[in-house]
Amino acid sequence: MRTRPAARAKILTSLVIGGVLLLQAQAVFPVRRLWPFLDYPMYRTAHYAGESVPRYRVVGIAADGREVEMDPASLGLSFFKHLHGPVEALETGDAERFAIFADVFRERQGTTIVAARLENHPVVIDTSGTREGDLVVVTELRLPGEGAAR
Amino acid sequence: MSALVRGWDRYWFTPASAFRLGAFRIIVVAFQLWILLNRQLLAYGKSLNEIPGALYDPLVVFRILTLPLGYEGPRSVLSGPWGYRPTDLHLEIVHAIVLVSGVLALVGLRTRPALALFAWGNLFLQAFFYSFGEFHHPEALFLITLCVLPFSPAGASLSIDEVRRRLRDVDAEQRVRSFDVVTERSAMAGWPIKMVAWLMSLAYFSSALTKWMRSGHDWLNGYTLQYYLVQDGIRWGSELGLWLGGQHVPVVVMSWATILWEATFWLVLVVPALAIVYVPIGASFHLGTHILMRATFWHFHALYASFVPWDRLVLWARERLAPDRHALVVYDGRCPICLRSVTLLRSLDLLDRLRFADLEVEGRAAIERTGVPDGEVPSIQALRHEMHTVGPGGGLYTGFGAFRRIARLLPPLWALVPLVHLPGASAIGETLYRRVARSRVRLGGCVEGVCGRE
Repeated sequence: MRTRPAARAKILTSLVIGGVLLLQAQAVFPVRRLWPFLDYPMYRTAHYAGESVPRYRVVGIAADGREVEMDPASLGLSFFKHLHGPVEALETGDAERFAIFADVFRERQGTTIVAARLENHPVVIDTSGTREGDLVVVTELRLPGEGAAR
Repeated sequence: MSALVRGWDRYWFTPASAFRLGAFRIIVVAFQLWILLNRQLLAYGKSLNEIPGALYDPLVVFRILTLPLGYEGPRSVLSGPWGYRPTDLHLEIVHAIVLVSGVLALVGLRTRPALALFAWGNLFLQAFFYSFGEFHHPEALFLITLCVLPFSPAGASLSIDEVRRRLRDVDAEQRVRSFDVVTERSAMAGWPIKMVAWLMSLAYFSSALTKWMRSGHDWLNGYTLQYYLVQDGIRWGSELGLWLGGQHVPVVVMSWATILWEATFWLVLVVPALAIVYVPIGASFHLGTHILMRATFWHFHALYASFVPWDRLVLWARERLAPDRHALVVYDGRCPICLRSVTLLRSLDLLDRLRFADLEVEGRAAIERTGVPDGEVPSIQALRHEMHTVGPGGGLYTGFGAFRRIARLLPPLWALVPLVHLPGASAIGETLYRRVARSRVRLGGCVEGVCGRE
C-alpha cells in the first residue's frame, strides 16, 4: 500500500519531533553531555552564610625573579578558558599542562615563566553584605625542564 | 495504539497559522544574522586558531559534522584526537555560506535549503567555538530550533517562495484567487512552534530540578543567590550584581520566584494562554541575569518570539487601524501581468487595506460606488490602459501614482515609501510603469499599449 505524500511528511516530521524531544529529555539526566542537547545545572549548589567567593589570581615568576600577573587578557583567553586552563592546572599541580600556558605567555608577552603561584583573594558573604577575606596561597608550582631552562 | 497515534496527530498537526511560523522564521534568522555580524564571530573563530593544538578537543557534534575529514578510528568520533581543525580559510567559507543562506532564508527564497545550510553553518561555527574545553548554554536550544526549521513549511508565508507559488498558480489558472496571507493555516505549521515550547519547558525544568536535587530547600536560603550574584559581579564587573548580592531579604524573594517560575514553565504546554504570564516574566528574568550577572541569554529572547501569536496581532491591528479605510484597485482581469500584480499586492496586504475590482466584471461601477464624482470616473478604455486606484480618502490615482498610494498601505513596502517620494522619483517611476504597461499582453490576443475588447 502506498503512503500518501502528506502522511509521509507527517511520519518524517514525527520522527524529527520524537528524536529531538527524546534527546533533550535525556539531557535532563545526562549520561554524557551531547551539546547542543544539554542539562541546565548552572548555579545549582547551595551556599551558606559565611562562605566566601573565590577570586583567583595567577602570578607567574619570571626567570629574572620578577612577578607578573598571568590574567586572561595576557594569555588571550576568556574568563572560563583561563579558569579551566592555567587556574585548574595550578590547582591540580599539573605542571605539564601549565607549561602550555607559560609558552603562550612567553610568545605573547616575551617573558619566560619558571614558576607560578595561585592566589585566592576571597569575598565573604553574609546577611550584612560582603567583605574582603584573607589572602590564601592555593599552590605554588615550579615548571620542569625546558620551560624553566629557557 | 490508534488512539495514541490520533492524539499525536491532533496535538502536533492541528492546522495552525503559517503566517505565525513565517514571522518566527524571519525573527530567528534576522537575530542570528545580527549576532554573526555584531559579535564578529568570524574574527573570534580565527582567534581560536591561535590556541595550541593540545587544547583542541572538538565536540562530538563537530566531529560528526566534519566526518570523514578528521576520522581516526571509531572511537575518535566520541573523543580523543581529531584529524581536522578548520583553517582560517575554511572558517571564512563557512561564514560566507552562513551569511548568504541566512539572507535567502530571511527573505524566503529557496527557503528550505537556505534554512538547512544556515543551520548547518551555524552549528559548525558554534561547535568549533566550543571545541577548546568549554561550552556554554545560551545558543543550544536556538541551534536545535534552527536545525528543525528546514523540516517545516517556514517559507510558506512571508516569503518570496510564497509569492512565486501564487504567481505560478495565477499563470496556470489565469484568474486571481482570493486569499488572506494572515489567516491561512497549515497542518504542518504548528509543530515547530510547539516544539520550541517543549524545548524551553524541558530546559527550565532541568534547571529547577538540578537545583532541587543538588541543594533541596537550601537553594532558597538567599545566601545561594547572593553568592552567585557576588561571584558573577566580581567576574564580569557588575556593580549592580555586587550591590544586590549584599541584600539578603530581596534575594530570598528572588530565589523563590526563580524556582517557582522555572519549575512550572511547562504549564504553558498544558494551558498555552499562560504564555502571556510566563513569557514576559521569562524575558525579564533573562534581562535581569544579563544586567546583574552578565549571564546573557539573548537567544532565549529570540525563541520567545514563537509564543507571540503574530497572526492574531496583525488581525487586531487591522481592526484598530482604520478598519473602514480601504483603497480600491481596479485591474484588467484579462491581462496576465495585471493578474500577477494583483496577486502580488494581495500577498503584501497584511493589514487588509486593499479591495480589488476586475473591470471586465464590474466595469466603471466599482469606481462609481466609491463616491468618485460621475464626471471623474474614467472610461473603460482608460481603465484598461493603466492601473487605477481609489485611495481611502476618495482620491483617484493612476499608473505610478497608484503604486505610490498603495505602497503607503502595505507594511512590507513601507521602506520604499520615502524613496518613491524623492524628487525625480515620479518621472522615473512613471517611465518604468509605462514601459511595463506597454509590454503587457491581453488574453484574447490584443493590446500593445491600449487594450481594446477582443
